[in-house]
Amino acid sequence: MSKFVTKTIETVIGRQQFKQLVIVEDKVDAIRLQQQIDKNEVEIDGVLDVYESNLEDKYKSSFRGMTALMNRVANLQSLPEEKFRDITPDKEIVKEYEIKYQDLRVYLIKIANGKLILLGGFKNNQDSDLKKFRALKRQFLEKGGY
Amino acid sequence: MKLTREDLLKSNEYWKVQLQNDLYGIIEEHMKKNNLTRSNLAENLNVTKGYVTQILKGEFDHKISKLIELALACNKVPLTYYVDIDEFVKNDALGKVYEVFPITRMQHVTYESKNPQPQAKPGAKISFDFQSSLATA
Repeated sequence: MSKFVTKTIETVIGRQQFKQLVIVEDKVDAIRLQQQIDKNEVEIDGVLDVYESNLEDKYKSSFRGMTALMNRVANLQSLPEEKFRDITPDKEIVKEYEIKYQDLRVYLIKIANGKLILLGGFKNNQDSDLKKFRALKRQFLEKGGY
Repeated sequence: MKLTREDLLKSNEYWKVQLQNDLYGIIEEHMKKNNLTRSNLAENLNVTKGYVTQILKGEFDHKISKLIELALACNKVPLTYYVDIDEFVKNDALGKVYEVFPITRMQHVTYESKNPQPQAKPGAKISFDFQSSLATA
């Protein structure tokens, strides 16, 4: 089992907060870790950091484009549905979104005052990525964020 | 190497995304305001429907002349201004954003010296005290 904390994405600044999920081992004191992250006392990778560091060089340019789109979302600026769309299934309470830029995908949910990225994925792996995203979302919400 | 905010602001992709999606925004607004379909807009602009679809996906990457034409067709002017990149990054880090706003144009400005000097008469010897001028500068 895992625990979850969240971390601000420093490359995205806007009117809305933009955060990424950080997955930690069950034995970790998540509340204390969250406080340390919020005070910038620890360096720990979140899901977007891991996604970025695992990207092949050919995707680096697309990742910059994707991050630019995240900035537009954070600033509530216009974006076509092809780039940023609501993918919330019927009857689901917490909103789900997808941002896409070329072959890259990022899956996120709505949180208070902003968005939380749960997973980074690829165009050719959408079905499997969506299942993983929804499983993560369920676990995250069940644990109340911690 | 992890992408930094500065790298992002200095990247081609960041500015391309801003321009493409700002254009998408004004065209989408124009279509809604005037109740236009993609076909109507394509006809008005004398372009193909596929071309309009591409713009509405936020993927405009054509000539500057086309960008101007599209903006004007939406009753907008494509106001462009350039800012020093390091100054932009520095201000971004301070939480400052750039906005465009109108100011009153200055007209018929005349500059008057605070210490008007008497006009020298033709043929008069002109002397200049360099040290004093530095002291008062």
